[in-house]
Amino acid sequence: MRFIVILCFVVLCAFPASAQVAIRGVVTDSVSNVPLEMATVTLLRNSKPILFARTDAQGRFTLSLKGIQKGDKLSASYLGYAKAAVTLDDRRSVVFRLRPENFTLKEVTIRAGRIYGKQDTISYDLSRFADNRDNNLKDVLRKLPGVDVDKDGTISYNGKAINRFTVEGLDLTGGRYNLINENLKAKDVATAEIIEHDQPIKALQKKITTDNVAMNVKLKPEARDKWIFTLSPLLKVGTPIDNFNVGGRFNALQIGKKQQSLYGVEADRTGRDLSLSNKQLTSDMGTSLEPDTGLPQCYDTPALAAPIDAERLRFNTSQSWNVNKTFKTKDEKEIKWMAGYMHSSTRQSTTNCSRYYLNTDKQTETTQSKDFRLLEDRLFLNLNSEINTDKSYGSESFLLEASQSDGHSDYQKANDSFLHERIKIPLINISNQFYKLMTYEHYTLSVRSLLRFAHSPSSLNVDGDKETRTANGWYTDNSLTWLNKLGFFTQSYSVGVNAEDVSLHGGNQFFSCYFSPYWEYKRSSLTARIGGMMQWKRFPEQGNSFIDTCPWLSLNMKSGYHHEYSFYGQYRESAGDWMSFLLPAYRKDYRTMFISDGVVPRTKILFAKVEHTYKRPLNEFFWNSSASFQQIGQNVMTDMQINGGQYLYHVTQQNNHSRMTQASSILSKGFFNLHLKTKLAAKYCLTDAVQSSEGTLLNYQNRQIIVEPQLIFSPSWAEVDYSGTFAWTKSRVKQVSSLATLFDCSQRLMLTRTIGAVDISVLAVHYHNELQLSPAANMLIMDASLVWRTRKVRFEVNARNLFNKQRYERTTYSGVSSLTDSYILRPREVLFKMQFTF
Amino acid sequence: MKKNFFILLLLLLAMYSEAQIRVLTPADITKGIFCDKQRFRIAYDMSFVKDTLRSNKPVKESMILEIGSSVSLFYSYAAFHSDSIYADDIAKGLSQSAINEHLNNSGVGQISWKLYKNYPQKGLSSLLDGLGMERYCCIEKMQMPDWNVCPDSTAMILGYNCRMATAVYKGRTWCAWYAEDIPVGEGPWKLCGLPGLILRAYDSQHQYVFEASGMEQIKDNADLRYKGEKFEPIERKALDKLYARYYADPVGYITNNPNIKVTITDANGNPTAKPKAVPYNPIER
Repeated sequence: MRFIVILCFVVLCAFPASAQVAIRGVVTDSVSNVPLEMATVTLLRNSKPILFARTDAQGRFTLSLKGIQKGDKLSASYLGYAKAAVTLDDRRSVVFRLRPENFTLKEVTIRAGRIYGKQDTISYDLSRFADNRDNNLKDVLRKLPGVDVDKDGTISYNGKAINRFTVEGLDLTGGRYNLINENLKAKDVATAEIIEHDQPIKALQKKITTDNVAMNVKLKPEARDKWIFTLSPLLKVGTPIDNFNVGGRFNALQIGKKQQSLYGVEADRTGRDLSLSNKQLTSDMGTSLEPDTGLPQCYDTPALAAPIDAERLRFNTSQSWNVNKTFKTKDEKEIKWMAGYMHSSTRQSTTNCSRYYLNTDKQTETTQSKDFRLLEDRLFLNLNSEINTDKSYGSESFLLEASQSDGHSDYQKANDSFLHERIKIPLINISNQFYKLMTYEHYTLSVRSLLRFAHSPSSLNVDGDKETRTANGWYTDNSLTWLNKLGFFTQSYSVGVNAEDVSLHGGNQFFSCYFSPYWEYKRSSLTARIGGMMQWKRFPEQGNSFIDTCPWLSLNMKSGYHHEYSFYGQYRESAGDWMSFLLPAYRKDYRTMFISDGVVPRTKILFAKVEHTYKRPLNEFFWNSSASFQQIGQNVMTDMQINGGQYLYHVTQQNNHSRMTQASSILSKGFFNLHLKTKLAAKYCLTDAVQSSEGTLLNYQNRQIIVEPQLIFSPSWAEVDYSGTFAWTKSRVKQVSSLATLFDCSQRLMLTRTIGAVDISVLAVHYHNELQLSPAANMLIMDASLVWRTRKVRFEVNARNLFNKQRYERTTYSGVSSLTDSYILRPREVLFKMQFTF
Repeated sequence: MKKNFFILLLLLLAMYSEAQIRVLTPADITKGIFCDKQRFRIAYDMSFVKDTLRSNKPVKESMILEIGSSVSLFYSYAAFHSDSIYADDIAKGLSQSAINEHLNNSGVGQISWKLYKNYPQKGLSSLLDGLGMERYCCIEKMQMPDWNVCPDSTAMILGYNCRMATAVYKGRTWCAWYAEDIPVGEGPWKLCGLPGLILRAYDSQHQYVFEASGMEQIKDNADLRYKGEKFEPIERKALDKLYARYYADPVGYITNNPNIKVTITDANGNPTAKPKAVPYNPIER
């Protein structure tokens, strides 16, 4: 007890020793006596600051310090007033009256060169990623928000395929950009940009909104103008080890600002589709609402059927060559020429069983067992010249395409003999497009002209019975457009004429003139667009004239930070479709005949779509939902009759409607702490249509629900990728039969592990298909791969179809039928690939 | 204003450690709301360490501090430069390729944030920043550092006599040199409250260093404008979580939006892993 008392005493005595002195005061303006807030009062000892405080709203300040020494000064300062200082002595309270005084800053000019802040963003250190996998342009592009790259190389942004792809501002391949993407190294790329609402025509920028999307890639200075060579040989070993195949790829690429070239050659026997390297992936910007549909053909171009990854089903020997060169001339003109050739021989074996529900007592069934060999040759040459300035735009494009598809099919007949069918479609297509745009003070004027000629002597040969149908066609479309933009409002009016001449069965033409107005109102959160086309079309040979009207409306609104709404509605009338009325009768393939009453088809389509997007990035949550409705009305119908395995299609005059309703929703949620990302997409589709058979109208309804979950789990040591597609399909032919619900699902699981410079991954794909005729088919396909990266070379070993699955089967509902197909798969194979870059 | 017209500049994945993905959207080229008249403009050289494991390679950026009568704004000059070029080109209706050319030459800067002190009102600060395509505005109560003056310190910076003060502030120990003859209690970033203008400031580990390189008194009545009117409000904690989330897995963050699919492949189109744990050294710890 006494100890505590002494302790308290000692503590109490301690206090006076630390004599805290408080100095208070006010700082005011000496002229107006207004107190100054946020003035600084500093205690100076020997001209050095010890402590400072700021005044409050009433100009008051308080300084607490240990002790005052002789000579301590108090100084007050405030911007716009002369500094004042007083010697404290014994005062504990000071009033400052500051005299207003202009403050002049002693200016210091920044040393020239620094202020332009040229950021050296190109310096990077790859050593940090030495054990990481390298990048390729194709997949760097996928990292851009909203960007998707399809299997065939098409780049899409937010679901919309891009309309233009340029490197350093030049379009080297005229839209065939797959080649560039697979050969340009990510380490050579400085920037890649997505341009939404792209308007490549400088003179139209800010005047007209487009929904086009473009992509431009810029290289680093050191990667420009130098040749980049890539060589990748490939060795394929089939199991059991019986056949070896060698293939590979070589590319030379040079990208500069003024000149670019790309040369490539490839040979393949592993199932790759080489036509993709020459495939035009961008769509042309056209003003005509009725684009050129091409030369009408009697026979279907033979092609590979691929319900799953085509690479697993394609047995091929292919080679492709291509040359692309573009350069800019002195007067800012861009000239490019592109040429390519592909030759491919593909084999496929399939069987098919189709059931038709045409009337209540019997089901009609056809079967087909087909061994198919396709020889394809494709050659193209494209010359392009473009001039693009702020005031005008001109482009001239010439395209020559020569191709031949030669399909040999062997069908097994009931008595084990074979029927041989050969469909040969050679085609020459020459087209020329011209576009010129001029800007005047208050408006722009543009002229567009397209001329196309095609020739195709196609033939069908069934067991020696040969039939040739030669088609020649001319097509032309010419239009003139006037455009004006004032404030938030843009208007444009186009007039044009187009005509086509087809000689397939005598001479047939159509001739039309059209008028197309367009209005656009655009503010910061709302965009409204209305457009339309009125067309007068005449078919002289048939003696028909039509007037088509096609109005459309589009609205887009952003509300707050989280919501976006859009609406699109269209009504469209059109006339014509050559193959429905040109030929009174023709044979389509070995078991199909086509006859027509000669009535010109007239179609009316009504379409509406609403869409809503909701996003909360903070909670890692995104939701996109849309619904659409479409009704198609036609004045002709194709009547189908099946007798003894032979099909007869008869196009007759009969008014009919079909309807399609669709709704879809995508939900995505991320869980950062669990390294998890999840996504769920659901889609519902209802189709109501009519099929005519032997004069009876059969109404059928098809319903489909698709659910697609996806999960990505990516901790630091591995990556697990799961995606599944579950589909329920139900079909009903009214008054005849109701088909069982088909449940199909496919699931994909991929596991990847990286150890040092080696990547090991395993892929398992499982298909479950319910078949009409037999119990459900289950199939599990597994692939494994190993990649070893060194500085100069990349080694890859790929084992495909480890379980050596032979056959893939599935059933689909289509119209009034259910079709069951079976395909032969590529057997187990091991591929050894090496890649050199120099 | 073209709400749908934006440029995305992607600086390579391989350059994550040095570079920044900066997306320019229409929200960045707004004229802004008037909040004060500018009185002074100070240019600072900011040098900071992004990757604490490689502190010998700091990144440099030119910053500007606009001082008004009550509000002040601190931002990256490089980002401002590219925003102005972008706004100008859009207003002129230049083609996309011309805009890309200009932006590529000027660079887009490493610092995407802007800090307003005493805005929207006295005692509050607004931090504007963007991650990917989102734009956020974080309003916080302004906390002045608790400075201790070092009486025996002197330095001559830009021709002014300066004194040093230290404070432990937001996770770092800061040293600031202020000019006694410039009675403006302002400084770079959130550093303020000294009797004079801060001309040099750095933290004890030299991971963040600010050095004034120039100053100007504004005579042409220029406005100080607030450019975050379309930015989404966010709390400090949520913003810190977002930063941590973004730098831990930038690709994952961007692809939270299901419309965005990301696959990383190597030089020849073969799939590889995504970057994780990009180095991140925030100024506030």
